[in-house]
Amino acid sequence: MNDTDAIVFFRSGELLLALPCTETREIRRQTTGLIPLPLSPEGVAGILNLRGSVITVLSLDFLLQQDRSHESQILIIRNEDEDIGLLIDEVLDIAASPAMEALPAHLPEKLKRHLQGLLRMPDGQLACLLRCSSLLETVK
Amino acid sequence: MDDDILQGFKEESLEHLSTVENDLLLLEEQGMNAEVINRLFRSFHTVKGGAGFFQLDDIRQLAHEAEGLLDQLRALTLDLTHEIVQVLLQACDGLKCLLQDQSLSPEQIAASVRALSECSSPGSGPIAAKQMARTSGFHFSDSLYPAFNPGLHLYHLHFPPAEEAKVLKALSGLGDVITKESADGLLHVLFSSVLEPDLASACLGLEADQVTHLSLKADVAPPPSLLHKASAAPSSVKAMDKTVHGLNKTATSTALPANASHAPAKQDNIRVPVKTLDILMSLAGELVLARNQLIQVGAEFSGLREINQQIDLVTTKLQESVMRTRMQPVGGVFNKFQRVVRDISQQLGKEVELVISGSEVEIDKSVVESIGDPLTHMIRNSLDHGVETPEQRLSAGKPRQGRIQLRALQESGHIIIVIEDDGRGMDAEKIGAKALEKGIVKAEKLAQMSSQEILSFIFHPGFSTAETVTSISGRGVGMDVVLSTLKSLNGTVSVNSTLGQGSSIRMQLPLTLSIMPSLLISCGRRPFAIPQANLIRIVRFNSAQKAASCRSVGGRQVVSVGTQLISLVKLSDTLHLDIEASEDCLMVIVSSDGKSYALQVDQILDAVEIVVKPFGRHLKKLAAYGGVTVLGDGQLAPILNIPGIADLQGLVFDDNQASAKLEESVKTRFSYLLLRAGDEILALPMRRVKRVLRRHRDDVKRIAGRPCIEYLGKPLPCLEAADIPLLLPRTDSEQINFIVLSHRVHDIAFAAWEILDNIETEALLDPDVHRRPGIAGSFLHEGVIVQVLNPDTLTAATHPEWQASLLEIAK
Repeated sequence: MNDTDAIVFFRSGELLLALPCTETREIRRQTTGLIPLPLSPEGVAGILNLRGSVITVLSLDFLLQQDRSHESQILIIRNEDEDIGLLIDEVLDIAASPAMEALPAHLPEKLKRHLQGLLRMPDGQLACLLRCSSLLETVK
Repeated sequence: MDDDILQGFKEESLEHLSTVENDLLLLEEQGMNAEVINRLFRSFHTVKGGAGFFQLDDIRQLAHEAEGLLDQLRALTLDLTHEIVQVLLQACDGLKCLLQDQSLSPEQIAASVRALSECSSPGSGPIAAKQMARTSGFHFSDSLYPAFNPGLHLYHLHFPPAEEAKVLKALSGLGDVITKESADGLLHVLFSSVLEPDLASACLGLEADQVTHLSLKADVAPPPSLLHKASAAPSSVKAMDKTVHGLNKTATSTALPANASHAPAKQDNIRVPVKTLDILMSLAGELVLARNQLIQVGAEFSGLREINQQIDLVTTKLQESVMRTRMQPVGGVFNKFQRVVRDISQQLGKEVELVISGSEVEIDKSVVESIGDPLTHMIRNSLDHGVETPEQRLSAGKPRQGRIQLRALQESGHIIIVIEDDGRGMDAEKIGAKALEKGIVKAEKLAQMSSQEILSFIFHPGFSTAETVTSISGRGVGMDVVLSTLKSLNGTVSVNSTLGQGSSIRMQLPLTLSIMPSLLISCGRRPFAIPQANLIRIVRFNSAQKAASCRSVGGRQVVSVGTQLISLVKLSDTLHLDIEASEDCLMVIVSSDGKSYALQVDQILDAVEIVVKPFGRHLKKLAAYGGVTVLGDGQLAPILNIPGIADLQGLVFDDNQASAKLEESVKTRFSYLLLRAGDEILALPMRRVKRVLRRHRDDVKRIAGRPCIEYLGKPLPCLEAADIPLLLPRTDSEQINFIVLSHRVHDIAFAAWEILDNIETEALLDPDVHRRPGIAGSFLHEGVIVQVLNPDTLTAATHPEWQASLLEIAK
């Protein structure tokens, strides 16, 4: 990753997470317009009309196997030519990319496989950099 | 090489070749025509030029030979013959294959090239050979001439190698570097550009003596160091292609015949990738939604109304225009069939004229692209099975030349395409017998089918009545492909035929694929769309009706609608939604692939035209939906996939023996109306009986010699005793019973001797023992043999005009 790339920092439950801005499209500060789709697989929160194209919105809680948190915002990411929404609690900050640090060795494997490393936020907290490709495969 | 440019070349060349084909057919039909020959020459030349530039040697060689032959035709050193046209058509086919990245074996190419050169008049040789003999050509060591384009100037530049980067930078954007070689310590560059000679040196940042304009007329050759003496073998096509003189000659000869100027023609059309149009289309759709929202909000502000109206108008026009960009005339597809008909009819020794009308009718590009194959299948079928040989036609009292009509017309949001031939027609009895033999249909069912329904068996996979398999058709694949393609396009196809007079196949297609007429329903307070193509009818039952019609069998719901008992699926159960409390039971009867069922929904909202949007990858696998659509207010409505929901429910049904058995018993019970005629008992399939009327003898009027009775304010034609001796009524009775039959296009009536009973039976129909005209077969009922009437064959012999009127309607 290039040092000049900006990073979006956000929260999902207890977890502080990060994604490079290049992988994200936009932030929706509310979940209006999100409608659940009957029979959809577990982990799919619903569908959303994003300026005329219909995108799938996934629950980040489910993807990271956490307890239900208070998901109230949608982070829209771009992956394999498709826009996908991630339900998150809130976006915290957008900042220039700090240097990446290694993940702690004792992180549970189910979480670790979706993470690339640790990034230090401007306020000093540590956020986990997500690995979108493996994350999105969690929904079968 | 830039892929886009290569793709552009291929597309353009294919366009050229499609005109080539029509021109060749024109030549064959009308004989020698200098203008057409010139046009052909230019087309082949353009293809050759491009191919040389991209170093597609096979294409170049083939186009080159074809060009040579045309040059001789133009110079009148060769007479136009049927063989020449044939050879040129083959060359055109070969080029098409090559351009579409289909490989041809070297033998095929060689054979085509040989055929072309064999047609050349002896001694004259291809065009380039003549030039070669006349001039002592020079050529660059690399292929240069194909890059040339009339309207461009060709320059020879030389400069010290140290300046290479600087000069090449100056050159970029001004034109194309064709070749670059170093010799004598200098770098020599052959450069083509639109730059005029007097500006060239200044623009390129070079001294005037470093730039040589290679004039087309004056044969100014680059320095000998860069040019090589042409190879001594004049027969070598490759070497000739590289001559500068070849360039001069062909370039000028291309332009001269038409007296065209060298100025580039004004462009009325530009190429736009379809993807761009798709994006425009979806943005226009967005704009429509935004406009709708604006209009809602704008109602509250006084000044906004006029502005909104304006925006409304512009948006609508914009949307229409964008839609139009995707529309193409069907003529593009239709015209290629002139060639198909010509080739196949020759192959079969038949004489067939193809009459095309409605070429200007426009359909969405995607639809145009998809109908090519089905049309080919159907036209081949008409040629092979439909139209007879000239001898057969003459002995049948028809004109020697057969006629196939291909028509397109627009009809209320649909495109109708009709393919009609005046050939031998299809034999419903034969097709029915074949269907029986192949086990596609049961004898009882067949007996109840109208001949049009029987003809529809030709769309069944693996169905073919052709006795022999020819190279053109008869393998039994084809018509089912037609049906499945049409279905995938949300279209329908129907067939009509009169034995001995011809067949007509009618296809109905939507104007565009992206817009689908649908019924909007709600379930659990959410909107869903059901494609119109799956809809049969809507049924509303109040609680009393519901109690009478809905039954529970083994825990599953069935409902009787009319005479049919069908499975009832609650959409709310399927989708695990809560239903709105309602007294009434609202059902949408849907069907797909002949499987029909009732889908209980909460409310019917609207009939809408929807734009289908695909789901993302996580939801693609959901069988219950075919996609999703954005409604006018921005809401999302999933589109129900009717066969998918049937499958979801079908799994449950399979576990349930009771309901499976119920369905089985529904299938095999048939109801008949029993009649007595003399000593015989006859039966009519109830499905075909519309009514039984009682009329006084004097009520039977004769119009134009035919008996008629009045029914629903209209005259109803009656069958006479002479038509059907076996139904001869008793003459001593004052009152006559008339049975009204639905007979394809209009109803008919016939006088019945005595009506006995209306029965339901599970007895199987024996199609063989008592079969004769008018009788489909027999079955045993309570120890009596009952013969089943076939109303269609009953009237075919005596009233052929009722069959013919079907074709009229298809028109």
